[in-house]
Amino acid sequence: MMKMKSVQDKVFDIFNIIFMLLVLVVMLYPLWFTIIVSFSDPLAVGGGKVWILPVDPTLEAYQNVFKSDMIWIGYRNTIFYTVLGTAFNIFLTIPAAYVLSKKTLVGRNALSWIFLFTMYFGGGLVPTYLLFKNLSLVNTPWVLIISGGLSVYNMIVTRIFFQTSIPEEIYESARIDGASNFRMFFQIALPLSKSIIAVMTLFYAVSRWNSYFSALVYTTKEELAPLQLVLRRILILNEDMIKEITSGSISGDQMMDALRKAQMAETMKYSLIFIASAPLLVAYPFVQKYFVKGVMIGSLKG
Amino acid sequence: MAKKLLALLMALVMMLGIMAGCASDEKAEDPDSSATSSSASTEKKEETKKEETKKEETKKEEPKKEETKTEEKKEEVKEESPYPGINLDSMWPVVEEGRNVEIDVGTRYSKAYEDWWTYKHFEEMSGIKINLNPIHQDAISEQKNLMLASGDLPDLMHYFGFSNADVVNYGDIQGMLLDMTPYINETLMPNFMAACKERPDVLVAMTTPSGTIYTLPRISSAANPAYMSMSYWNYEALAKMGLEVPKTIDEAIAALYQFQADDPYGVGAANMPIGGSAKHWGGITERFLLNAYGFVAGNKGLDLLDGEVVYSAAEENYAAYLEMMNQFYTDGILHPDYYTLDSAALKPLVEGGETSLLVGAPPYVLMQQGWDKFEAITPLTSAQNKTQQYGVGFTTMLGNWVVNAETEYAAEIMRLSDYTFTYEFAAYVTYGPKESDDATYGMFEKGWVMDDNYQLHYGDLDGKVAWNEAYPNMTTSLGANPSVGIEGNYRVAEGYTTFAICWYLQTGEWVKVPYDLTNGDDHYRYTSIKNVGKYATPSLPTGAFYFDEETSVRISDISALIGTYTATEEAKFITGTRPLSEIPTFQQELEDLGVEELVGYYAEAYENYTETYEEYLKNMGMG
Repeated sequence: MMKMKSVQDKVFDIFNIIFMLLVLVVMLYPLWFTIIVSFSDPLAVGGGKVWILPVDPTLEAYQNVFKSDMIWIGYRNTIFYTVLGTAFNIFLTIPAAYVLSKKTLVGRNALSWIFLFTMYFGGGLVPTYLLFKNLSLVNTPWVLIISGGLSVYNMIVTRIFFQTSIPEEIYESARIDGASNFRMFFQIALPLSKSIIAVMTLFYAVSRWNSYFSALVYTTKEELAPLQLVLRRILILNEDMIKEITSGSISGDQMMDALRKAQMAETMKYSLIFIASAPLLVAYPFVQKYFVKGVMIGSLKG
Repeated sequence: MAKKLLALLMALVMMLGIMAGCASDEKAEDPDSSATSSSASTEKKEETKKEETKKEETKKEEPKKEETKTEEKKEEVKEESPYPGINLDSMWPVVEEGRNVEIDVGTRYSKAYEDWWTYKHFEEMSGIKINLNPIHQDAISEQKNLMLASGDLPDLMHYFGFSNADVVNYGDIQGMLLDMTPYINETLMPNFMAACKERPDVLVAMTTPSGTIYTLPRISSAANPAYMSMSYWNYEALAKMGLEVPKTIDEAIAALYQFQADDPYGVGAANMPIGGSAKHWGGITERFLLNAYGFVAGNKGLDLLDGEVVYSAAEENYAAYLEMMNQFYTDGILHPDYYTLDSAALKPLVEGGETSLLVGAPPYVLMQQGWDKFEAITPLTSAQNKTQQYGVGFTTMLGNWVVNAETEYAAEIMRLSDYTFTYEFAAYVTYGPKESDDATYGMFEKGWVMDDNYQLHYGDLDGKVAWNEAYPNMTTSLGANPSVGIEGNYRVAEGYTTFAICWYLQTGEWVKVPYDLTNGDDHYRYTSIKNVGKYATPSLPTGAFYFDEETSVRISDISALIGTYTATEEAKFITGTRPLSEIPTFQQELEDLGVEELVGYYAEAYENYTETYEEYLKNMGMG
């Protein structure tokens, strides 16, 4: 039998709905703004005339974006780094977390402390750069896959999952039946860890997709640039065009071209933001349940 | 017990880690270097560099033996030529036939190229193999710092943006940069020496306090208003209102208020007498107005006032400027969004040239229609300043052509550098080669030709006047960074436009190409020379000042703090958020923040610069 709501409940519901709608608008409007600006005329955008709907709709920004080879190279590189990099991350994280979850591991505490130490202290950018340079990895795609191979935070979350979600008794019975450690890992632990693997894959993939700083530092070749770096370069293009214009020592035609580029860069950056975010926006609803589960997956229970 | 020992060991390791991570402060005078310098000390860099040097020395043992033999041979040859193996009889080739000279060049770029015409030209003509490592401009700061920290520098660093402080630090102190002084002579670099004779200020600016030179310059025209940012009066509106061009600040104020009252174009609410904003070209209209009060360059920071170095915002004259601007804001002479409008937002507000009396930036850049109504301002006088003067900036770019101290081919690189100080380079780096030179290297069809009307045409544009993004013949598309050598406008001060260099290359004669006043670009440059030329006054040449590392850091700290504070407080005074009665308090606050110390550093540097320059002129017989 449905419970009858009191007047107070109804008033609360109304205010609740209004409040949540406001929160929804606040959160969705920036995304909507990005979309409508990317389809609007640059002059209208510069004049602040775009608010709810596109003004003087045009596909010029997207045409300019897709005309550039660098966008496609950036997409290719980002997909490559994300797929391989995430696979490398999972390859390191899951086994490390599994073995550290075993209380019988010799030197377990020391190993855990060493991992933890790296969360707070590091050699710095210059020594890291020198390391990669001495390994002949600088200006190769492998530096962007190998660097950041293991996130200790993610490893700790995974370790807690292994400790709390898979009963020790399963391993004991497997051991009694003659299973080796490798067999227990591959045939017991891994099949039962699909959720944590999915969560960690998602975490690493999002991180890899959005990263640009490693590429900025360790590579100079244009053909190795990931999408976020290409996006960043176009985002700051506007400032550079203004600097060229203000130098006062370029010809008139160069100045006009720089100004056109500066105006177009305004709308192009919004189209780029949308293009760069689109794959993740599309993928998120499908992996949302894992993400929600993953937020709590590494927590201690009971 | 074991646990205690383990805990003690971990604590010790952590402490060592802290000590390693928290060594001496990194000299972060360049804000862009903060990401890379946050955890590395100067001492550590030197140690790393020494380790790297040792490793390199070990690796180079065998080649060194060959070098020793080569050096012995070179010594024998030396008596015959000061630079053996280098062609001194003509510009090209640089190296004598049969020599294999290969150099690594790092350069900054903003757009990716499949081919770089300028470096190809260098390679083909000089006989030097160039291994180019292009670095995108958004990564240049990080890459430069990493290269310097690791000691892994290319032979030539082009357009890396070494500041004067970098030059002193990495040149004088750490010895990583080549001292070019022994190579700058008539034998090896005749073109550069000729340029220095015409522009002695350049040589003074290049020389560090220790008397060494680590960078070659880019020499623009002697200070000339044709290439400066300034403000422009709407001459048509002045005529409509029956006003002469303002020559004093009072006349300017009266004209602006009359424009607001009369609304000569009938635009109504769109009327905004000052068509500018604080964000537009760095508040160029503000500089014009501040200049009226005696500040040569119209800077709110360091400037010259009555020949003395001052911090403008700390001076009494600045208060008069603030009061005027506050009145402008209150009465609507300034747009209500003056502090938030950027150039893109400003453009639609001034389009047509009928909404404003005074604008900043070349008018044709700001508006597609109506730019021809505007002409460059004439400097104003005021009760505080009776001299019409307009500051022209330091026009020499330094720090973009730097050589690795450990390069094997110093003389070859310096000889190649000399080419950048020819008129040919000045034209080619911007427009590409002339057709008759046949130096396209397969990258495009034909070079340029100038017609009798002094217009450039390119062979594969069906005779159309050039400049097209799709065509590789423009500065950045050529893959060239025109940050060294003679700039195209080198002789503008003498009345020769940039295209005059092309005509000279084509015909051998110098012609003062007339400005085409139907062209927006020519129009504004012509009016700038006409109206401001005779008032051009050298402003504070901060680009020629050198400070030691400690002073650089101190200057950087004070400047950042005071600069930001001045900008924000000025906005408050002008918009009325802070009462004008507190201006003396604000100026006292600036003193407390160290403005006198800052001015002291620059005053000393300016005095040294002036003395050095006068002494140099005397030595050259030009004083």
